[in-house]
Amino acid sequence: MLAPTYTASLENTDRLIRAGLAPARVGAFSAQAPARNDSISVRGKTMTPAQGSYAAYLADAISQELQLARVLSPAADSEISGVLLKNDMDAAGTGVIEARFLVRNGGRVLFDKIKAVEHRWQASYLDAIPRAQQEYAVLVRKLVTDLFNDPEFTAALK
Amino acid sequence: MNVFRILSACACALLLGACARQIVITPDLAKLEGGGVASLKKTVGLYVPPEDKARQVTTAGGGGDKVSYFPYRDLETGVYRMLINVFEKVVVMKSPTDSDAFRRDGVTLVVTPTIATDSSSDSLLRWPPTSFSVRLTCAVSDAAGKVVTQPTVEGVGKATLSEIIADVSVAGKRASQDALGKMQRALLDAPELRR
Repeated sequence: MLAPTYTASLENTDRLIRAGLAPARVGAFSAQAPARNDSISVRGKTMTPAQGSYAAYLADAISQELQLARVLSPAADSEISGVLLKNDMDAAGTGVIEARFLVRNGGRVLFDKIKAVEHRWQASYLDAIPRAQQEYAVLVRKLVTDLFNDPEFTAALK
Repeated sequence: MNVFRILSACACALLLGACARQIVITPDLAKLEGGGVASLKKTVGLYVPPEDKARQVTTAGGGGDKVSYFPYRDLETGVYRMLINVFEKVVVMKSPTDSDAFRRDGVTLVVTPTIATDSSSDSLLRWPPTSFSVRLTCAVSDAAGKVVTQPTVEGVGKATLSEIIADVSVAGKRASQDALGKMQRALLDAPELRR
């Protein structure tokens, strides 16, 4: 099964617009063990991202948020990159994700932090697999929101 | 003893089956294209009441089962994305009388969506809906609260059995997508918004 399509949140869009950010581009995102980068197994069912890797899924999520706030530009000087450090979920109703995010501008690193979030939901036995599938997008949105809420991150993009 | 066990198992299955299954009807925003039509030179505010965002609804699925979802939470980003295709600037408003938005952001019109949904399935064995409808109304009002226009559209989404196995929410996502596309056209065509 495919990982759910990520959708940018209105709260993040509003936050990014009001922060008055300069345009930014999304650079390379990679993964490092123990993060699951190719697939996540939920009670024996494998969930894979349409982007080919979960690092690319995270990059796509950030791109979508920046695009909706109209601050995504492939020609921008500021670049956001990252490394996925943890990425897993289970059928019991827990997901964890952790990533290192960097903002560079002209060779200078302006932001370098690790962000981690955990997400829990109520899973019933019968719909544990589709529920876990849906909740993955919520897990990623929590991580992205945590990043956008960091004043040092928004300051690095001004 | 065996009869008791069988009856207990049946009761458990019925109880579990009676629980509504969670789905998400958020459409793929990448598919919400502007269509190359020039947007209206207006700044609008989008207001979704907090009580609507928190509203969870339950409608029919297949095999006597039900599905549950949050229509406003799932569709609000899509509505915002659609409004970007229609108007020059869109601002998220904290209240319909958000004076900051009117003064600082230059909002002249406020858009408040209303969403009604329904679903059904032609499958007796699978719970995800194969048919979904999203009735979307966008009330467009001025700074005084007077409704300028209020188009209503109905989006429909259908899915086959093999599609709902891959994505339990697919019919709902298609209905949302269809409703947003129709609303985009309705707003662009509304003569009241061209004045």
